[in-house]
Amino acid sequence: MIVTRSWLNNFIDISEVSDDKLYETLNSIGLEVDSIKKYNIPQKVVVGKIISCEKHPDADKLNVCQIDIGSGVRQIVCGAKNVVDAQYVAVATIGAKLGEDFEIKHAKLRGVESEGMVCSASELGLPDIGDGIMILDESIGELVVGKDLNEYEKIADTVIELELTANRGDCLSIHGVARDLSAALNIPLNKFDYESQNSEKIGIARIAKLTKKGIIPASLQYVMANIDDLHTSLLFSLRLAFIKEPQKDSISSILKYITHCTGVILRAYDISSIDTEEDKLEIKVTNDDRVINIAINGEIQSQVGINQNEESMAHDNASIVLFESSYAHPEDLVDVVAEKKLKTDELYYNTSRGSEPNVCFGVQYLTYLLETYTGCTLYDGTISLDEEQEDKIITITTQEISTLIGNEIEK
Amino acid sequence: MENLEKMIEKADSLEELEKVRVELFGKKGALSKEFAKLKDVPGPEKKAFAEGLNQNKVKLQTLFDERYTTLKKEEIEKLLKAETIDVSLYGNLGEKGALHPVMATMDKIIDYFVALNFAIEDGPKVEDDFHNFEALNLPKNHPAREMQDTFFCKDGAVLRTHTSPVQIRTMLKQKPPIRMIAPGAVFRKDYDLTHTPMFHQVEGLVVGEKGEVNFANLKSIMSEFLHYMFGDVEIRFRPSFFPFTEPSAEVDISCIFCEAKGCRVCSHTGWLEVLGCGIVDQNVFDAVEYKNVSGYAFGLGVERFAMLLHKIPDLRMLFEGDTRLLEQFR
Repeated sequence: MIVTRSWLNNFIDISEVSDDKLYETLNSIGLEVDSIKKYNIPQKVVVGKIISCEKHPDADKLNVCQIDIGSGVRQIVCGAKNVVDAQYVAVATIGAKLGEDFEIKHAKLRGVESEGMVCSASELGLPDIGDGIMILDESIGELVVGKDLNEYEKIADTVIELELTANRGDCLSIHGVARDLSAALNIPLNKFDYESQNSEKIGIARIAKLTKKGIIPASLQYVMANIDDLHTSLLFSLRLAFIKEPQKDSISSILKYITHCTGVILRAYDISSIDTEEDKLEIKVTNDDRVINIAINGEIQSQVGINQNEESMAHDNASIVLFESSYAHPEDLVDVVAEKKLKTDELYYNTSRGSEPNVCFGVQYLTYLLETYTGCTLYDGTISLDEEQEDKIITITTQEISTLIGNEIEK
Repeated sequence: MENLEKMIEKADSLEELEKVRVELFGKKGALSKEFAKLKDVPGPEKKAFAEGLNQNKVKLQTLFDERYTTLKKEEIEKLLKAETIDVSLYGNLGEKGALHPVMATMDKIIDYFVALNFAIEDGPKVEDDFHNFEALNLPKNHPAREMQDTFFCKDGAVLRTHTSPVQIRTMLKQKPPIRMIAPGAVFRKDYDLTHTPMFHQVEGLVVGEKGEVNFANLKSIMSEFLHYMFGDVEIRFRPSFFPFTEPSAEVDISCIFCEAKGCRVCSHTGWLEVLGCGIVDQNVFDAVEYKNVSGYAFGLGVERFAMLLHKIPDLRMLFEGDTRLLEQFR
């Protein structure tokens, strides 16, 4: 499990807590720290705004850019293809040291003056986030031309790798680790709450209907969205790279991001891949000898907590997507999977250790991300199936604890 | 007659003497021929002739025996001379064996606990599911089983993945109080810089009346033990999880390579993890039907201790049998 300081900051204010204190606290609450790494962006690497970008007169693969770096406009020659799409970029200005023997100096590239370098993530010592230069966007914070990149805490982040023990499914998310830190450091945990901002919408209930057969020991919640202007923001790419889980497309990036952030299991179904009559969807949940099957319009599309039919899995080319957040009890899952030798997908690692039971949290976070970072519009409301759950109560006396540890504890 | 005597005297090896024996005393030998003449000797002379023959035979036989003894003696002397060993000579084979560093480390660990009156227990290396997992609060299908890459036999038996089943066997065999250690080989299917398919553990278990054994006892014993093994090091207890103990702790010592300044071996943390321990989980006591007891357990990897003690960088070196390494432990 990998967490980052700025990501934890979403849920708990640890700005006053040093990296050393964080390391010590995590270790002392049973979340063993495997490694802790602070990413530092070299000095004199700043936010630059591309004013113009033209082809180099003597080189096919080079572009000549005029870039505002706050202290003035500089002409910089850049070889990356994607610079033509960029507005804001990371510029290593004259004097920046990108390595022990690599200092940015005045240069002439095929006869054209160049005063700096437009950087890729890996050139700045960050994990690789794909081909070309790193295109900056507002997901890392307000972009101020000329500001040192090292001041963006979401880029110059501290990445902490935890070695979780098998009993800590609750800490397989940023929110889960923040929850434990909140208790240990006595800092309040920020409650995440988000209401959809879009008011003109068709209700999801007019299209989809959820029915169940038998007793379903699971929780499910669905939302639907029209997919539009889907892209992976820099923050998502960077954080997914920090946690070593880069994804192929934007939908899987968002799902991975949310599951890692909230601990809630999310799946996405491409509606166009499912046979529909008059655009109606019937989601039927059945308990078939302890396997909870989700059938959409008569065909089984997933087994809760276990796997999903690849054909209905949504990718970036989907136009309407049904999102599902789910929870099933890990002790039920491990038994039924072993007994029936069921095929499991990568989410099973989380579900078999216990994913976040608050399915609503996952859906709210999804709504927030889709409305904030994409052009997707959501259908109104959610449809859900909630399992009645009683709070677990553990009874223990201070006397019992004292006997166990052989020491009096302060009340 | 003189001829025959000369033949005996002339023989100068046991082989030649044997030939002479056949020529003289054999069925078709010289003597037999003389005796055959007896039937042609006229009656009155017969007696004297026969006596003469017998005397000669005895004479020859005596001569032969003497010669045989002399030659035999010469032969032995010759052999002795050829094979003489001068035990006072200085030898060039100064090679003597030594304990393998893992075994030497194990002995050092055992010495400590034996001095504290711990009994040494042993158990089978091929275990069943009950002793290796079930009784240790590792139910079937539990993700914690994945912590241990197990070698399974076709009949469901396993190569023990830890020495903990010895705890179960000892508790089923004896009544509390218990104070034991179980050193021995364990098996997991893993092979890299820090894992080998076979390695050694030392397991410890103390069980007493409820309330008699607690975490404070465990902490003091483990701290003292680690000082005995590694000298003046700092010790840190970190909460952790093992299915068979609750609460559980992993124990670190300050890095002995960099004096806790941070180096490659300690992943720049200044700490080295050396053992796991905890208060025995109630489910384990339930599995062996122990009532009203409390206890603690601990386990450690002997190879890890040996590597740290002797600053051996790669675990696999301990199993390669390279004499250049082993010679250093004479």
